[in-house]
Amino acid sequence: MALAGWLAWAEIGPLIAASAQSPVAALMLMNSALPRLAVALLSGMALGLSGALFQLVLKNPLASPATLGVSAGANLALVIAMLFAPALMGFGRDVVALAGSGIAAGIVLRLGARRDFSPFVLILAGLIVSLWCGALAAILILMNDHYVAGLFIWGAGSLSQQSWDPALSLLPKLMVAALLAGLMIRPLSLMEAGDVTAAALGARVPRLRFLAITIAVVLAALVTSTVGVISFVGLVAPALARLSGARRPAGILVWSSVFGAGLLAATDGLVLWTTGAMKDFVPTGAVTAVIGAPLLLALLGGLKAHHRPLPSARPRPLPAQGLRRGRGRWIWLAAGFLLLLALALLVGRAPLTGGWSLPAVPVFGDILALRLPRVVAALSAGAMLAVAGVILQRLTGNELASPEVLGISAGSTVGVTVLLFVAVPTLPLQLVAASLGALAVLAAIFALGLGTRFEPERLLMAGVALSALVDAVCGVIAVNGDPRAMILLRWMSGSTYSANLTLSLTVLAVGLLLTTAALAMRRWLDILPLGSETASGVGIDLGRARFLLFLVAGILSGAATLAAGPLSFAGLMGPHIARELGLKRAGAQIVGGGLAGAGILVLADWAGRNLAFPYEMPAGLVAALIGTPLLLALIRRR
Amino acid sequence: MQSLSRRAFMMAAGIGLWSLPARAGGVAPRVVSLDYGLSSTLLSLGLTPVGIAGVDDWGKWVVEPPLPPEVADVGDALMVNLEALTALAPTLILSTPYLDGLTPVLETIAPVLRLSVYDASGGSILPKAEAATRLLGDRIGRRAEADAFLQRADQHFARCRDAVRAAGAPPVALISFLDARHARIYTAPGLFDDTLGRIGMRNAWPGGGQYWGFDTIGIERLTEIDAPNAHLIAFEPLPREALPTLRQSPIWNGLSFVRDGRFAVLPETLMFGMVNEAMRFAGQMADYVGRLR
Amino acid sequence: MFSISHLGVSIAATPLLQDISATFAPGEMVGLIGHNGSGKSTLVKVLARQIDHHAGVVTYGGKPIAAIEPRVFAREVAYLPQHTGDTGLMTVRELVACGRYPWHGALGRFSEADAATVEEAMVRTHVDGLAGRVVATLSGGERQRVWLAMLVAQNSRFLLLDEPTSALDIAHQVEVLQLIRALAHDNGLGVIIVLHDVNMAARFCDRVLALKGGRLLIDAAPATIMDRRLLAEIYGLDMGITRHPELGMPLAYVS
Repeated sequence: MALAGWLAWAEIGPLIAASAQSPVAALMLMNSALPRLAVALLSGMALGLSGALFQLVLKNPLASPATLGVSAGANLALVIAMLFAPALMGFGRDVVALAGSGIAAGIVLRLGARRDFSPFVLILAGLIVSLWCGALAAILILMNDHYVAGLFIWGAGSLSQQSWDPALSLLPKLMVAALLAGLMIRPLSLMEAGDVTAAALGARVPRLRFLAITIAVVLAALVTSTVGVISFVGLVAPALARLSGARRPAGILVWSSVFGAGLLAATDGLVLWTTGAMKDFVPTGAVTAVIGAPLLLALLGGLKAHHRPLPSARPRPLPAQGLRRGRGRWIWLAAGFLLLLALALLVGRAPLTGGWSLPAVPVFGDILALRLPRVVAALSAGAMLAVAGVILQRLTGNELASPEVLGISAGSTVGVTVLLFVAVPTLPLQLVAASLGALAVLAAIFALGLGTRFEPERLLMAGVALSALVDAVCGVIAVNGDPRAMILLRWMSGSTYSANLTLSLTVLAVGLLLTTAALAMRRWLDILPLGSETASGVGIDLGRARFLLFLVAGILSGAATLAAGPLSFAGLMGPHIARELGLKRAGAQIVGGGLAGAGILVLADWAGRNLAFPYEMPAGLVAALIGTPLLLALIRRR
Repeated sequence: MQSLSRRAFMMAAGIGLWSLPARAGGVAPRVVSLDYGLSSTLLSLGLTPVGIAGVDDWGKWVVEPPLPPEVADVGDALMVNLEALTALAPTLILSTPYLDGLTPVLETIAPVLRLSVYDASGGSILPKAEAATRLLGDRIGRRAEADAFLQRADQHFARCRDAVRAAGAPPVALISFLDARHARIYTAPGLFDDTLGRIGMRNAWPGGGQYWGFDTIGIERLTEIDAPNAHLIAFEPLPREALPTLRQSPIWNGLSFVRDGRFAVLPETLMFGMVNEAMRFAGQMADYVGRLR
Repeated sequence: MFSISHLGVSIAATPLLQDISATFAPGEMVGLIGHNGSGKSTLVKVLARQIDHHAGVVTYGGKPIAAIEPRVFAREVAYLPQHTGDTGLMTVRELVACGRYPWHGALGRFSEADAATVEEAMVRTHVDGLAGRVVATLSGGERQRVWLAMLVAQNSRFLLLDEPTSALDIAHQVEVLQLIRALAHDNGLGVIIVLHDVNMAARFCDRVLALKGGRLLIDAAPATIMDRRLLAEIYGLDMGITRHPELGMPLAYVS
């Protein structure tokens, strides 16, 4: 707080001095610097309070508007409204943001409720929803070039102000929400003792939880609608409140608000102070993420490592008999896959006329030569991500784990980002940079894992933090409107565009090799989900097995990222589709999931190449857009 | 500057070997251009490209000269549709340093001529655009047309200069709104800034930017413009909520050019273009300043 | 043959076990009893190599247990944790087959002999009728027997069981304990079992170790344990002893 005060003075002090002489400086003080400080304080307070409410009712120290995907949902809704219904953007802005964050929160919590709101499941679900919202926002940006930088600024959260209006409109709404939160302090204290006890004492637990979450979502939506996405304040403020001794709900709510306000004001002061000399444009929201991601990692240390919730009270409907066996499903899977391959290679849009057709005879060879590397790249990447997904899901006992989540893809993105600023980004150099990035993350993961026998949850959370960090860094670059941001955005959106035959075949070979390795380790994958005690009880060397499996999954994801970008969700969907087909043993799931993942990406690549012809939509984004709702439906049904 | 155009010339000279037969046969080369500035320059040299990148958005950014309907679309510049490109059977592909990542792929389809206007070496844009225009003229056998075009451009600039001088040539700040709180401001060196110099006007913005010639700022930083008679020009397209929101901002309303009505919104003009785009911009400025009287 | 001498375990300077010495032989069913937090679970976990010890020596077959290869150890000693993991969609036969891992390893062939051992283990534990069922759909008693079947399939010489009956009703407790006792006496397995109920321990075990506050209070035959004074010391509660009306064995009750 002292730091915040000092930084605020450092920014405002000279303006006050100058305002005596110059009317411009006075104007700046009254209508830019002071409102900015006010908006920072109010937004910080709202986020701190929102995070504290989430953490209290979900009993989850990692819950916050950003980690639960609430902010990303609001952002996506605002982007959609800005592009397609700009009339909504005046008074309707809050409503739009609220709708977006409400839907995102609903999806994440539904997923989380199935596992008794386990911190890890919630955060993973939140990350997936965030990634998906980000993917959709990105595709909208790609399709509407000229708004790019504006939308980026929104996503990165800028506090820059030109009047008191935002602060004054935020204040009363915030006060109402805070008052309602205050009224809930006593019932919330009851819930500390556990849901059952609270209910026995007369609290209506489900209604209480719903109300508290609603208030938290409203608070986050208000902030996003006013200044854009500000990550991590909502996560860190309650943690600081607890660290400084707040124990009871009342104390946590009050101190989280205070710390949130101070934290955001301090960060913003720091941003203004450091960039003041260069006058570069740096959005504060992205900076909070850069500071917050390492903090999230630090908080992980204090988190109980083994929060393995007991099986849900609601029994899952399971088939009483072992699932039907037979070759039928394999034949279907293989036939469908071959049909897809033929479609992807042969059917396309005719250049010039744009009609659907097979390639004309004179250019048949040329066209096929263009399509083949991309189909092979999509196929390999999809299969590799899916195999990595099978490994990670079994390793962590978490059906939401996937390579995207490990942060390896994020590492590749950092590699390419760095490259863009030091050299001409030719394709081979991009590949080298991406591999180096992936390997660096892999090394970091191993360094982190050595101390903890590669404890899966911790590694996954590290991946989450890393992904957030990468997003923030890319956001800062993109916001400055540098045209290189478009190259980065296109790379991140996951296209097979840059694949050539050499690359594709190399990736394919790596994929086949590592899939064979994964198949060789299938028994570990069968036994590890039974729990570490059972696994070591039958003689599995846990450290070694996990190390090898993580290594294989890591290289698979890294190589796949080279071929088809960092964001496809094939790694998440492949394993699920295999399970739906009844392939439940590790070996069968690897093969079936691999085929499914390959099929998804081949289909997405084909759709991306042809639907908007001659404009291309990246396969990764198409896969994420089609696949994620499908995936959520699958998960909900089970 | 000098060494740069020589380098670009030598690159182009290497490619000349391939493009020569097409010229020798008297057949016009089949050119595909991946850059708006190069595309409009081609049209001005009297050669219609068989295909360009981004046909859809031509009317949104370039506007003049109008694009003949027979020009095929090869998709987005950064993700040129290689199937469409192959089907056009080009004899020459025009590219820029921005698209360097694509060069190896493009070269498998046709010779690539890389013309450098916006690149990290910095420096003034307009002279580089003129040099690139001559170079392009050389490569497609239309050097005379190129010289004539540049002469027309100079005459146009001179006319604009006269009009501007007559109107008193006030300093101008040039922006594109990103949203209600942020804008791109065009800086020196840059296409707009260089063109202002050509027609005897001054950029009112004191700060610098990167080699594309702009910087991203919060609206409140417009208070840093200290020229007392400066005008603020915003270009279309405007985000819809920008002006309604800004009209309620004391900062915005307190800006001297807004207070005194020295603010205008002008039609869209490509800020990352070449000589044609500079001419369009110069014409718009001359018109605007002319209306002030 | 397990041998422990002067074993000590502590976590963050809090001693969990102190100065414990004992030996365990095949063919014998040994019960571990004590109040909550007495260290009985910790002792089993040390023997199962789930946690490290800080003082003393624990050997198996004369070798320090930490020096034995994981799979070699698993062929000798099988362990059933108190909370078993999520079996997902695994069938009974598939879960029991996991017990063969120490023998075939990650890459070895799952042989005819392995399959036969799995079938035999299911018969032995009376779960052969459930072989095709999904484990997660079974009742608590059935599920516990399936896990035991997995341990039996492991074909080890020792079973380490951490409260295998805690979730079962009285009928299933008896059924499972009878099964375990038969494994010890008929198949010659060494069994070390943590039990809550002193009467069950006295009835089924050959020997009982009582722990209190991380120290070994007594290591004796059940008859010796069933003593007012001793039980009062073990559980910190006045208890009385009576006789089973039919079997004549001592029964403890809270007075």
